[in-house]
Amino acid sequence: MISSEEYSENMEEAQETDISILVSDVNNIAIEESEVNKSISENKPLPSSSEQSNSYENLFDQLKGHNKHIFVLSTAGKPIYTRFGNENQLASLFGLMLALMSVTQDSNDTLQSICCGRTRIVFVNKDPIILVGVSQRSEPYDQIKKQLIYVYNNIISTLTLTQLKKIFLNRTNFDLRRLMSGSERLIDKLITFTENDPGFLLDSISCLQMPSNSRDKITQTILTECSKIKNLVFGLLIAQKHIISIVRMKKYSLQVSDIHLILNLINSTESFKTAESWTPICLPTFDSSGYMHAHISYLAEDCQACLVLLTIDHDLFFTLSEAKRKITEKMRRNDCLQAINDAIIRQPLSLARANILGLRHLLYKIKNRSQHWCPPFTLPYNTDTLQQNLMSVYCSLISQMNFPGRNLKVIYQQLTSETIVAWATDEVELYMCFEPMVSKECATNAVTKLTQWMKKEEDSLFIFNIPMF
Amino acid sequence: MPTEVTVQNLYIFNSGLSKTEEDGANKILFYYPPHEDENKKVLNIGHIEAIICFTRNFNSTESCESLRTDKTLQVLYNPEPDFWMVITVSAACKSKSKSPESPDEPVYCTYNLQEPIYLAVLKHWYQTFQMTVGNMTKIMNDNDPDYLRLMLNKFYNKYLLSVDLSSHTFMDMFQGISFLPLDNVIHLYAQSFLNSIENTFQQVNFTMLLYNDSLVWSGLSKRQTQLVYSYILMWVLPEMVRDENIVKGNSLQQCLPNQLVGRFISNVWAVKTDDWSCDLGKVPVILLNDENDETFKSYRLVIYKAHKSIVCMFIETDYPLTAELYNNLDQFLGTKLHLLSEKMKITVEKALASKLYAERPAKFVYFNSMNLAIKNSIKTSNTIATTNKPSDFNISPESLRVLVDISYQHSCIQPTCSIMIKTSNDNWVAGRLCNSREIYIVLNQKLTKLNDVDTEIQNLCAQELGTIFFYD
Repeated sequence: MISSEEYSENMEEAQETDISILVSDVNNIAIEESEVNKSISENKPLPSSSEQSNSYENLFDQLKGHNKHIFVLSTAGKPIYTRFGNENQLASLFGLMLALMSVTQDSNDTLQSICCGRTRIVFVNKDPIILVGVSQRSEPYDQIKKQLIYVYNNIISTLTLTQLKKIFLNRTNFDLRRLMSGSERLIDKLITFTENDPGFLLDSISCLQMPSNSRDKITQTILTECSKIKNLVFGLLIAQKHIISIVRMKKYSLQVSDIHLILNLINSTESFKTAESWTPICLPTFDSSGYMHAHISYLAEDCQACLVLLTIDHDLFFTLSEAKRKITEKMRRNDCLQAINDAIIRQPLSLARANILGLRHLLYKIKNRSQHWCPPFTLPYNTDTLQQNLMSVYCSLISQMNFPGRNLKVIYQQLTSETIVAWATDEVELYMCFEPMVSKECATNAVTKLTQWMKKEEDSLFIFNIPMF
Repeated sequence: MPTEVTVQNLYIFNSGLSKTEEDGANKILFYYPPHEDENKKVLNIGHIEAIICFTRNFNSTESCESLRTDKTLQVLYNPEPDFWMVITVSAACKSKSKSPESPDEPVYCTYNLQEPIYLAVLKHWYQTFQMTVGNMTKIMNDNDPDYLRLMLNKFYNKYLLSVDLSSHTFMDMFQGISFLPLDNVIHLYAQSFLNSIENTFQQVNFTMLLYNDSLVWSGLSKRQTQLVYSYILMWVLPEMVRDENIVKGNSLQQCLPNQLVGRFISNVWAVKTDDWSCDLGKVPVILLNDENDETFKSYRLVIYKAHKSIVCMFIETDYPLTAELYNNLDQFLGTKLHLLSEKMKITVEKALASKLYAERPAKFVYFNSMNLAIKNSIKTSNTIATTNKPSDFNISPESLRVLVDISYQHSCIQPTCSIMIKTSNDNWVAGRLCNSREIYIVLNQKLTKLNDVDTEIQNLCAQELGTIFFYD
């Protein structure tokens, strides 16, 4: 086993390796895998149940303790990733997953999910890889499925779909872990992100709160520099989990799930803070067939905002490096760096300012912009457990609102510890958490009052201007 | 878009019956459709066994409940150790404009299939089987697997023929009992009448009284009552309507010439029947479990009808059924039951006449899990339908599905809660749960404010359910 330190080192290496090296690596690996997996896939599942479950027992006692498992395997049954435990010890389990998938496929169908009490098991088949998610807390199926898609996207982002397919076309038995060393850590972090971030639940991004004129000035500065560079497609300025500004090439737009991947990459990699980096990255929703090249750097020692410039031209490093220098200089001159720092340090806007009776917390999403606002948690949600409970309440509420074939407009639900309201219009989605004994009249008024209040505040909370060049 | 639900298969198996890989077919106890390819049957069962085995890795305490694929939903029920019942349903969207590329390929919308409905059906069927035939493990141990196969075939083939599973919706989840609303005096009168039967005839262990399709009184426990009630509704009442006209030539009539006011209902469908003389027709044999020691005792179910009422009498199988007993029962019951039934008719009609409210654009279902009472305006009972015309709007399939969601949430998450949902067609669907009482309401009104919806619901509750208290 490789220790976690080595993992991160490997990761950095992998990030900086050119694709050509990766490709040659694939071709150089000799065929040495045994035929074990083939025999698994050929065996129809006729389990002599008692024997099998006995041999599993010890191992799976450990597995039952975790709330959420994610397994990734190839369609040949080779383990690729497991969130907990060691893939090699789980070989028999991977074999069983594959067998279950392939039996369903024989009848021209695709296995989706299994329900067993509070346990939900979800399967996603993305030939040549299979992803399996297990949740022990009766999470909604669609959320688990989305998590699996995120993990899949992360694998694509390091390899591209074209290359992934090519690898398995040449060698069905290929051990993908050889190419993934290092990105396991990114997947771990990504799964944690999907479990805690409202942006994942809402399919939206969160913006750094700042006065709109400051934001415009920053965007304008980036735009002026970027528009001069040929083949530059996207530019993003990021402060931790929040987006400050986005610019884009005409006709192209950046999807939320791709932004989440970029955010995860940046927030999980410490080395970006010390040196500017040049990384190949595939944005699966934008174009899963090829790499883009990302110039990633923090603006300055005294301003911890990260600038990401994405291009399709792999020779553009020095041009982008120069552009970044100019952007930073210009921003320093016109006080943008100061504005960013102020915004980062500033106490985030509190919901208390809206002064709405009985309202404890909310999620506010602007539908057509895919942006949301999640105010800081306040009393009584002052512990991690309580916050997580609230998030899972939101999670089931969001899933209920958007369940296929339902299209609900309002949900009002009194629970034991809170009253929750989901309210969807053509423009916004609102998920509100009230005191448990709030009156219906009060809740209705809160929606109106909040909508009015948000009109005043939204300029600083959301990005309304995403200019093109 | 309307959804077309089809039952792909329904099977019952016991993994313990197959020792080697070759004799996989031995596991099968019942399989529908019967003409399915043998290998396919074994393969399907093998698949489900693998799923069950796989899920044990992650949850060893609860049993596997359902499995979804792109095209189907499979619901599993594990009523006795090693015995599994599985139903597979699929749903295709009936779209008006079919895609030009593949006009024959249906569009699947399995997300419209809901587990709780089918799980409730499987459970109910199993319990009815248990009541009319017995415990599967016991039948297999006392006889052999082939005998169990025969019994299961008799039972499920009959049920599958008479029930349209694809039309099952929200209402089928409760298997509730519709009680006849009576004033205290009549109710006591009915109760004392039933007590006098049990006292006069040693053989009669329990009695049950129905007026039309509503229950008046039952001496059985609530679970037993629920099963017997649904059995009567399914097999006795429809049959009765059918042979009301051919009573004259009935051989039973000839044996018991004195039957003037009332008559015995015989030859009711059951897997196990019993008779003492073929002239008197067969009566069903029913197994009722003793609540205390979990053992089953078998009883003959003798049904007697007069006017609009029926009395069900459970007679222990130790006592013989004789023409003399029939005659005595007939003499004792006939006039009394007829009089009682007429009294009930008067009170019911009086109650209905005084209850002429303004029609509300709303439908409701009330279910009390303490006594399994159900009251609703979706499926109207015969007794009430005669005078009360149902509201003139139909609940959309979407609203029905939302109701299932609400009730499922009730059952597994919250002990007390209240929920209101506005659907895409601007109907409001609401559910409240308190003290084991559940009420579900669909409002066909364009309301925008939560408190207006709430007021509407409160008015409805006050009108229909009077004094029943609901936490707000």
